[in-house]
Amino acid sequence: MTEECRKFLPQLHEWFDGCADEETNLLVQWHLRNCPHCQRLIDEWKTVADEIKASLSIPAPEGFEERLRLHLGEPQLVSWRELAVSWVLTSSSAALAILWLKVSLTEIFRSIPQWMLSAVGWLILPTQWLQQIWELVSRWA
Amino acid sequence: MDEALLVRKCLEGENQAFDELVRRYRDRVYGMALHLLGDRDLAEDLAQEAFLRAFQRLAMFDPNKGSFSNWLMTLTTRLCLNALKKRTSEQQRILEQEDEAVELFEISDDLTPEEGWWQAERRTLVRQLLSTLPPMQRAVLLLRYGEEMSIQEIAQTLQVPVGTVKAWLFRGREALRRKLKEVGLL
Repeated sequence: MTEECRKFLPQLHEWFDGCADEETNLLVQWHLRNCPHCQRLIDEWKTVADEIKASLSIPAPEGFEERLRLHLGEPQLVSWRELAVSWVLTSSSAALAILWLKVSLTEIFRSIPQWMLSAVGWLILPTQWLQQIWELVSRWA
Repeated sequence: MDEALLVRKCLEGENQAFDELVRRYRDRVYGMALHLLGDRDLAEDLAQEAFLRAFQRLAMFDPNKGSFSNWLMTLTTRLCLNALKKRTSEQQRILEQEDEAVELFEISDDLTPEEGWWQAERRTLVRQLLSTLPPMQRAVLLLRYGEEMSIQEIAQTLQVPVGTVKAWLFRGREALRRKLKEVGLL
């Protein structure tokens, strides 16, 4: 392999993979016309590619389809329409649950003694202060 | 029948259409899994998993973005590479020891018994030599020359930059050429 060939190697790879620009294409083609060594190298790469292609497909084991059919069982296709319907059903049931909870929570709160609510309020207060400070800082920033 | 039509029929609920897709691609999917994983049982499990996922996600396949075979092979390759990541080095060592040369390839009817035997031996040898390459180089070579995917498509499949794919292809091809030369196949 000559020094020129060594310099050409990255371009040869680019050209072989079909990613070379117009100028590189011309340079490589010109070099290949005068270099039997690089011509042989390209032929060997072609053989490598052919060997890989030929060895890719390997017969699947016997009974492959039967076993797959067993795994598939009932139809499991999920279409966009089904996804949309399930999304609408989930979100509407979640909204209904929230509405129902709101009503129930109000009733529950009504039945709790006032002193207990005040005690909880005092516990919550520092958190609210922190929240207000955070909002002020965020606005200022 | 055209593969896009088969996919459409499959989405309409025709089970025979999916059977036809499996018949068409099972050997390629299984072959890819075996090349990447090196274990026949695991390769079959992964090939089954690939078809199951393809069936479940068929509605998401867009024929305008590429062929069904590319979509299926992308799915298979990703599944295999994830499985490889999970495999421990001890499992890998055991698999390499068990990887005996067994006739895995179908022999063409046009060949004499000697030619057929030689073809099967040659393919088995290529598979063994390929298995000595790092998994990502192996995947890139199989997708480029086996599946004829473009460099950009491979980059999308493996979720890596185009430059990385080019480097893996460069190194993998050169390494395999040298190995084929050493065993006298070139």
